[in-house]
Amino acid sequence: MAFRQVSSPHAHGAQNTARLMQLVVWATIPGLIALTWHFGWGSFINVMLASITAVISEALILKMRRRPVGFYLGDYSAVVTAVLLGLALPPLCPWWVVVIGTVFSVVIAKQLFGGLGYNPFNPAMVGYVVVLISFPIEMTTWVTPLALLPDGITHPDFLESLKLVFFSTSPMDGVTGATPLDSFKHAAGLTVDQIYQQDSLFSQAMFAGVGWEWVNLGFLVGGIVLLGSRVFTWHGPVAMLVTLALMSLIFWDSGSSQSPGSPLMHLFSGASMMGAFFILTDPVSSAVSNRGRLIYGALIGILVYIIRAWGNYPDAVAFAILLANFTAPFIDNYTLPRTYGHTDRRKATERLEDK
Amino acid sequence: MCAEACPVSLLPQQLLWYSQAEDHERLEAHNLFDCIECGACSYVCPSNIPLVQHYRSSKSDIKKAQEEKVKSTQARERFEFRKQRIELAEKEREAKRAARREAAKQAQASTGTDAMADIVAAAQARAAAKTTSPEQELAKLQRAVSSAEMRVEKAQVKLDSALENAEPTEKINILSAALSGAQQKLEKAKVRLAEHSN
Amino acid sequence: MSIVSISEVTKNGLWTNNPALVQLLGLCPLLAVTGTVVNALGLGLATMMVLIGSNIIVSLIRHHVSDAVRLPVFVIIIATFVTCAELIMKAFTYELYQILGIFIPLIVTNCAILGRAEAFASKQSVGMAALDGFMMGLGFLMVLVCLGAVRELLGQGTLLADMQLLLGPIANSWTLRPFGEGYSFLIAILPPGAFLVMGFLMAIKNAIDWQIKLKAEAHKPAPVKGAKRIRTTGHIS
Repeated sequence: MAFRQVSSPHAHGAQNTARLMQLVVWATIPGLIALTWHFGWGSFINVMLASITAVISEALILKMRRRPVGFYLGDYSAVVTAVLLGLALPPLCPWWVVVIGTVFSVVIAKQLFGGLGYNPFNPAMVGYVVVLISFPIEMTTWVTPLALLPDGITHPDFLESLKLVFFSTSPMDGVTGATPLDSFKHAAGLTVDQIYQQDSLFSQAMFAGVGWEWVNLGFLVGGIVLLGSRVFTWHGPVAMLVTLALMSLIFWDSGSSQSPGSPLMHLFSGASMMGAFFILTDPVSSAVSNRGRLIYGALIGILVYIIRAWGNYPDAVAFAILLANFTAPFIDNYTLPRTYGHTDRRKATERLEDK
Repeated sequence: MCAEACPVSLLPQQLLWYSQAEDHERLEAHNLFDCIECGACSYVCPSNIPLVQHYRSSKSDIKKAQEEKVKSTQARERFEFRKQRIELAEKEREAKRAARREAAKQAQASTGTDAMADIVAAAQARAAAKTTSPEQELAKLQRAVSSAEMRVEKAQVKLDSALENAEPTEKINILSAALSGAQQKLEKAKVRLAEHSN
Repeated sequence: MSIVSISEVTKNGLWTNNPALVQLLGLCPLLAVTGTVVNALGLGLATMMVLIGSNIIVSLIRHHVSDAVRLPVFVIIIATFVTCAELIMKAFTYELYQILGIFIPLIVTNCAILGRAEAFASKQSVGMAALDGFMMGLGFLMVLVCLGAVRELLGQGTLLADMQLLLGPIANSWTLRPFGEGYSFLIAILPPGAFLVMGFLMAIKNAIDWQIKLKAEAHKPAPVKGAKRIRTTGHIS
């Protein structure tokens, strides 16, 4: 008679990947609502289009890789990637931008590296960077927030937005404008106060830029919900946001013409909050230990600020996160936690003979 | 999540990677053997990865590798010791041989000296030790005489038959020579016996 | 010295041992200049010429050069041919020469060429070495042109643009625009695109090899049942 050898645990938690991913999707809803309220239906269409593309391309590539399609589609990871990408892309950008970005994310950045859990880079950000580099015009055209539109003009309604996305050949006119980070980038020679007075993006805002502050608050709320449900730990996001704030405080330069902007503006514009809570917390491509996550988050905060202030691109969350993804294994090597019962931390590359 | 769940602060994700890659060095650097297999990491794993099973199999793999290593070092040590022992024995033998050679040389070089006298004395002592009682000696000599007589008779018979069958002359010569040799030996034996009896 | 057949050398150079797809040699120029077909063709032809020339000379002097100094000698031979190629391009296709720039002199460092000199030409007869140089060069050229075509098509939506730089005025109107004007997909032109397209080319090659292998296995007669018996003791004879 043979005994089956069963190792612990003999029970399993209720959590599973699909539920976790669904939770992340739900948590993006406040941000999506804010985006839709302030910038029209574009983001909503992006998210839908990206999700459909992601599911289809994931199914195809799984079929090509001879993997069980239903099982891997059921974990919602493709949908999460697509939702994040859709939120990051500018509203009302042409459909092929969304499709190409999504296909790159799912097929090249994720599945060609081995699927969920094996991707060294965050798939959504890879897709975003690919389209950002390839289609600079489409990717830097943002819709003007609702509050700043001239009287009598509103954002196109849902059907018109669809028409714009699928059939418009040239970038949309009339309702497009700069983002807060753009204005700072292009307003050389002006002090911060002057920019704030001149640009209605800032003069009508509460603290960071019309519309953008609400979008970032939305993502902040979603992120706090995820933090509360223990999807990730606080280390990464907090480290990133604190470093970003610190950097902008150090280089604030009391609002002179050289200043790249106030801490509040940096925290609440662009993709700061979304990056902090939804992208850099990706458990696959980030550092694994808590101390490692602190370093990883801080590195992203520094990189974001450096590229925003002195780089070519107005926003930098995607680049910063991809660069930090490169360093994550290296950080892991040097940040092993102290194991219970040991007196010192070890390095991952350490050999027993070294002792 | 698994890293937070671990009661001894290990990194289950890294451990899984390295145990799939069978990278034993890294596993030990990550303190795999501090894992108590409580299963907390597997319990919280959203992807339902059987982490503990991986660790257990890695642990036994590492143990096995270590045991094999110990075994092979022991075998090597044994082999080396044997080689050393054989070498040592060979050396000792060589040294003995050299000493003996040296002694012989010295003995040859100093004839008539004390050493020679010693050797002569030793030989005499040996001879003395060998001498036996006179009765035994007598019996021995009598046996010698009787066997010599038998040999003479046999030679005589052979010679006679050869002569009868008219064999070639050479053979007859040889046989007659043998007969005379046997007769001489018989004479000698008889003389010795007579000497002894006196 | 192993004797090799012509067909073997041909197959090696073009497919099974293709310098770019299989040996992954000379990737630096390969990835850097394959933005368009014309660049790829220019660099590929130059490389091919250098490869044939250096292979012939290395094969000719193979009995007269001692082992200790062979590598410097090979490098000098290759450098000579690269200089020739550079001067030729400067004389006849000056604009293309300017576009390719540093990558023409850098052919010297293309390890595919030194590799062939060392591994093949220094051990084989002149004819075989020349053929090997041609076939390896052709294999390299083909990959370059494929990459160039795909990247040009994806990146700027044209095919065979600027061919007059290499082939003269006949090619003035060869440019094709299958997607119409105003198309661009920058990443294919940028270095990451080169890596991506190269990866896909290699994947396609491996997939084809796999298919061939599968087919060969399917055609193999199935082993007759019972033909092989495992005997544990004794002999039958």
